[in-house]
Amino acid sequence: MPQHAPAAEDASDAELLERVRGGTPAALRPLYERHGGMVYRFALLWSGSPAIAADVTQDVFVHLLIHAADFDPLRGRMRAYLCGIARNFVRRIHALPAHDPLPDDDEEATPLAPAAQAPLERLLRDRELEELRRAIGLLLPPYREALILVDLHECSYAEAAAQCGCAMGTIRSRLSRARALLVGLLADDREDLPAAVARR
Amino acid sequence: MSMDDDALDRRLAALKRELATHNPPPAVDRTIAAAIAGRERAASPGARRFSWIGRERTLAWPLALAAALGVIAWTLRAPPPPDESLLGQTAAAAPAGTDFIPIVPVADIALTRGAYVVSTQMPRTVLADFGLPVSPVRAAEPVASELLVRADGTVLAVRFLE
Repeated sequence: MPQHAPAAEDASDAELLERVRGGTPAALRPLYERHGGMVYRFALLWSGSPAIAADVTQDVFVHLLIHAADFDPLRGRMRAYLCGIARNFVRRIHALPAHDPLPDDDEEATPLAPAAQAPLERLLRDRELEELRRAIGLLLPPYREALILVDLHECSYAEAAAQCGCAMGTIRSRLSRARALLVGLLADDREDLPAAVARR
Repeated sequence: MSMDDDALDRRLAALKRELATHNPPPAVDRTIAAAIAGRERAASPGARRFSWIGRERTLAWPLALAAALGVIAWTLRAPPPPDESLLGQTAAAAPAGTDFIPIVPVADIALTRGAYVVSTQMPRTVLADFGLPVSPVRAAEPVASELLVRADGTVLAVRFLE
C-alpha cells in the first residue's frame, strides 16, 4: 500500500475495493464492518429467514472478494451495489429469475405472495413491527424489493432501478403499489395477516 | 400525503430502527475471515498461483486430488445416499469436528441435489487456508476430513474431523 494511502477506516468504499482488487484482500474486512449489517438486514427482510440472511451475507462478501473489479462507483454507491448482489443471491435461493415478467401496470395481477410462501418466522418482539415485517413478506418480490430498497435501505430510484434491471418509473410505480398494499394489509389491525390475504 | 401514508412512514421508520439491532451471526464473520486468509495465502510470494476462491471453478490441488480419490473410493464401496437436505443431513451424522465450511456460494449448495460425503485425509497445512490453527508439532501429519462433493466432482464444502 502506498505511504500516502489513507488508513482503512478513512478510506472510501471504492478505495478499499480497489485495494482488494490490487491484492490486499484484508481491505475487505472494513467493507464488511461497514456494510455487513446492512446486507444482512436487507436479506432478512427479503427472505424472512435469519439462516438465509446469514448465508446471503457471507456469499455477498465472498463474491466481492472474487469480483472486486466489477464495482463501478460511477453507477451508484457501494450500499446499493451490495443490495443488488444480495438481491440476486436471495432470488437464486428462492429459485426466482433475476428479472420479473410482471407487467408494470397490470392491475389485474395478484400483488401478494401465497401465504404459504411468506416468511412467517417471528423475528421481532414488537407486535406491530412484526406485523409490518410479515406484511412486507407477503408482497410479491418486485413490490417487496422496491419497498425494501427505497424505503428501508435509502437507495435512490435510479439505484434501485439499476439493481432490479428496470426503469426508474417502474420502481416508482412498484413502490407506490407496495405502499398501498401495505396500508390495506395493516388496516386489518388485529386480524391474522394470512386471513387478510385470503380475503383479497 | 394521506394519513395512511404518514402512519406507514412512521411504522417503516420504527421497523428500520428495530432492524438496526439485527446483525450477522459470528459464523459469517469467521467464514469471511477464512476467505480473506485463503486469498492472502494464495497471493503471497512463493505461493502457488491458484486460490480456494479466486477462481470459482478452480480448487487447490489437495482438495482436487482428495476429492478425485475419494469419489473413486466411494463409488467402489457404496451406492449414493438418498436425496435429502445435504448439509443438515451430513452434519447430524458426522463425528465431532468443524462444521462444514462452504467452498462455493451457499446458494449453489442449496440448489444441489445428489451430492456425496467423501471421507479423506488432507495435508494439515490446509487448515491454515481456512483460518484454523495448525500445530507446528503435527504439521507433517495429515488431517482427517470430509468433503461434500457434487456428482460432477465439484467440492462444495469441507469439514475437518479434529
